[in-house]
Amino acid sequence: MKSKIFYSFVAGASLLLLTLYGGFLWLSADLPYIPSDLRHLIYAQPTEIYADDGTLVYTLGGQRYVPLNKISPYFQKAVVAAEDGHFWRHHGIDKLAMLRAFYRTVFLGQTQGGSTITQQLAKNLFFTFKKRFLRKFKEMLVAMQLESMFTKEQILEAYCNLIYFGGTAYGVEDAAQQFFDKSASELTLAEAALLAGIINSPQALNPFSHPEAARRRQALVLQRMKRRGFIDEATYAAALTDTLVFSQRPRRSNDFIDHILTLATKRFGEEAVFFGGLKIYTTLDSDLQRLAEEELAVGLARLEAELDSTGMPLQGAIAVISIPTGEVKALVGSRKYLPGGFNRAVSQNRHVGSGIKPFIYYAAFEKMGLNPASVVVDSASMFYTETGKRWMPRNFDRRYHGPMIIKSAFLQSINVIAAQLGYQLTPRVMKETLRRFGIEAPIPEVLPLALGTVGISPLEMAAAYSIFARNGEYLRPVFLKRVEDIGGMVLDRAFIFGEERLQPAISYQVLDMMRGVIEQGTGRSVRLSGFLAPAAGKTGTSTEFTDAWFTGITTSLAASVWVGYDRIYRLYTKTGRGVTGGYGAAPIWANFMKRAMKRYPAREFRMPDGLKRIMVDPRTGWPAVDPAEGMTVVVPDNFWPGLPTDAAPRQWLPPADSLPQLRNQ
Amino acid sequence: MSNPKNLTAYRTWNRKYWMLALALLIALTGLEARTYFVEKALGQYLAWQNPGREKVGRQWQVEQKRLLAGTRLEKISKELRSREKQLASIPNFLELIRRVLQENQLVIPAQHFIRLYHTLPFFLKEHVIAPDSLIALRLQDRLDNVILNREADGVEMVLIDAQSRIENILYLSNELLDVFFKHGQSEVVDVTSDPRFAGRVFRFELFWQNLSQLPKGMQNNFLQAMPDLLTLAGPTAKVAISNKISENLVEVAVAPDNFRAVIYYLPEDWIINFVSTLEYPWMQNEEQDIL
Repeated sequence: MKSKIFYSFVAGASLLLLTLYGGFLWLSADLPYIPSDLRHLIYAQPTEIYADDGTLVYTLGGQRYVPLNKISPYFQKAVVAAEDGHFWRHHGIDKLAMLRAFYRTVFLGQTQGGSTITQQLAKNLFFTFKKRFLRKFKEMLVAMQLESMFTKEQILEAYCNLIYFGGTAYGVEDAAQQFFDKSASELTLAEAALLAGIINSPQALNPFSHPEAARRRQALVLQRMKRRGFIDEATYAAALTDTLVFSQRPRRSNDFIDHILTLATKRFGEEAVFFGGLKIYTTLDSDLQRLAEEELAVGLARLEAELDSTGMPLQGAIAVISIPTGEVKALVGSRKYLPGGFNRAVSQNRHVGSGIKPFIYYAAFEKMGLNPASVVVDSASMFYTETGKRWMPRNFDRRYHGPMIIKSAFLQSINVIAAQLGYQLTPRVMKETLRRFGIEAPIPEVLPLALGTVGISPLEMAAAYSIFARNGEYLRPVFLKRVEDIGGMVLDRAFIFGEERLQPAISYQVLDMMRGVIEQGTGRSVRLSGFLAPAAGKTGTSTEFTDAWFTGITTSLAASVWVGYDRIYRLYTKTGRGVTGGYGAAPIWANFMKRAMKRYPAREFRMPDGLKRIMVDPRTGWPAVDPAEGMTVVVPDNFWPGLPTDAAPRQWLPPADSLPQLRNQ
Repeated sequence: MSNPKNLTAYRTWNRKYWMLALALLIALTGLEARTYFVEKALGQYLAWQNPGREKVGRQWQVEQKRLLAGTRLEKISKELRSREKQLASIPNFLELIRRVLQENQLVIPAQHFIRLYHTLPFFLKEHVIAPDSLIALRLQDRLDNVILNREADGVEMVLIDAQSRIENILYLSNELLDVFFKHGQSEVVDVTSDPRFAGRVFRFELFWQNLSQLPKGMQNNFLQAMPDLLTLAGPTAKVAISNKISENLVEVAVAPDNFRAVIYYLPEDWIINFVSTLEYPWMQNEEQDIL
């Protein structure tokens, strides 16, 4: 009997051991190979993205590696205190911590990790972040193996270089650079404690987005350091009150960088961009990007407060291009940046409305010999479209205004006149003209094209309008200036090519009309917003107020702003008023330009030779007798020879025999 | 079991063995707590097994992608290096233009462009870009690359700086390119009957006599510009000046016989200088020499 029980016990114990051994063999069967030097597995040259001024703005795919003696001892102690108090004693797993975590998880419903630094290293090296029961055991086995293969110092060094700190910061060196603009060896106790605290929850404890939570966590880490005897009371108290000086240039992605990555991926492939250690030099102006992001967010919030509630977030986009170089300086594709999110600044899916009119008027001047002083008649007009359907365009105010000069029609954004011009030009010519302006979006060859029934991206709009500021010269928008490989070899570089696409004199006549839009037309809100530098632009409002646009130029920058909902939905204020480009988008443009143009001289646009400025009656096109009622227009030199070009129209009377000719003109 | 003695003995035995087992367990636990022998043993075993394992897991996948990236970038840079090598092997300016006409666009480093520029005859260089302009650009470090684009009416040359900004745009018209390609080339032509040379065909002897009357520097210019002049010299040789002027360059033919000639293009002012050496009325007086 005695021996029966004893042998049962022995048999049971043996069975248990066998089961454990079997489980161990089964789990260890597919464990990963661990190299003899962890550094080679961790270190990778990151792909670096630089702004136009040469500052590093974003890194991806890489991992810096610094030896332990180049990591502040404060950080080494802080990370041990924060993550694994028994690190220097255990052999990969902390059984007490595990039991405590198990108890709290099962009985108290609290989530608490019991992973040691070695286990975390194992997880970060070889496992996914999906929580799986068996993965935990494998992590433990790998941790034991790591402890057998490497010294504690080597493990701590690898951990410090591999761990994630949020954003694009992998490893303590990167984190120190990104958060404090210094190297890991220079971290103070307070900074080290803050960084060590972030590891627990990089998103929720990010000091830029959650400063309070980060400080609380820092205090906890300092307390643990004191409790473990790593620091004394006085040092602890000093560190608690130590002022932290954060980097003024937090490295984070934005829509511009996302677009850069898209372009680079198309050119070099995804692996090369994310793991190739490239150096990508871009045209990004970080300050303008920040201004654009801020002004779009502020402008949309202000507008949204006035809008009828729809339950959908109001969205917007801005594209900013340098006039002299064609370089894209800023790109904001959404109200709040989401990594890899939909970039509205480059998407060609929203109708531009009257924003298209500068192109149509340019074509009319060039092909039909009109100029801003030519008289047209705004009256009820009906057209037969290509499909034989009748089309009767209406003006914004649902009224017809009779005869007027072209500039007046442009300033008031009269749809009927644009439709008449489009009809005479033909859809094919309108499409060809848009192509000359560099618009690559699909363009339907239909008559309503004259009123902007075509989806064009803000980026293309800004690029197209910038041609006017260059008196007809087209520059393809440039994002990537140069791409170098890890050895410094130039793999790609952008060359800026100017191409004369428009006739300078005609281009300037349209530009002058666009100036009028801001001074006295539908874009007056630009001036009312306090932006006073020389500028030209055009509002755009799509049918039923679903999109509000403003695209404008100065001699230094071109910018296009779009505002609307992601779903095609009307923009109406609480008072029932439709939101136009002048009301919704122009103030955002103006507020952005007000701040952006502080860095640039407020220069006048250069008028090409062969043009003159005269004052005419906006209804008859005749020389204005009363300057108060006149409208200044820029016309070719040979238009009404002898007419004074300064503001003295009363002194000029056309010779009697020229009147019939003038009427014809 | 009914025997109390046996029961007591069993209990004693039982307690003893269970106590032993418990003590063993406590001892092992204590030992483990102090020495971590289980983890160490398992760790050693796993480390021993390590060489046979596969490179799987997150960081190995990243490593795999790095290798792929490296391969891809190596391929791209290999292509670029081979292209650079091809460009570097272009021996002269004419070959460069030929390549542009074939490939529509070429980008060459400024150093190489200048080397090729110097392969042009000295009097043709001006027609590409004045040497002093080129020197000024180099001195001010404003020339980094030259982009050559084939256009319908010739070749566009864009000089750009290190920031990829345009410093200058030059055009070589098709007419000028024609001059470049024909200069120094042999052509099947009878200069005595070709209308473009009518009235301006000299016996070589007369041409040489008049050339000798020019200042030494100008003579040298002619000799440098027409290197075949001396090899083609002979009693039947003729020199003919065409009425065709392209880009201020006058076509001059040196013909060893009536079947072929080597064509040169010389600056108009040289020809004017040369013509001024002929005695008036040279056409009548030298009728026997001027064919």
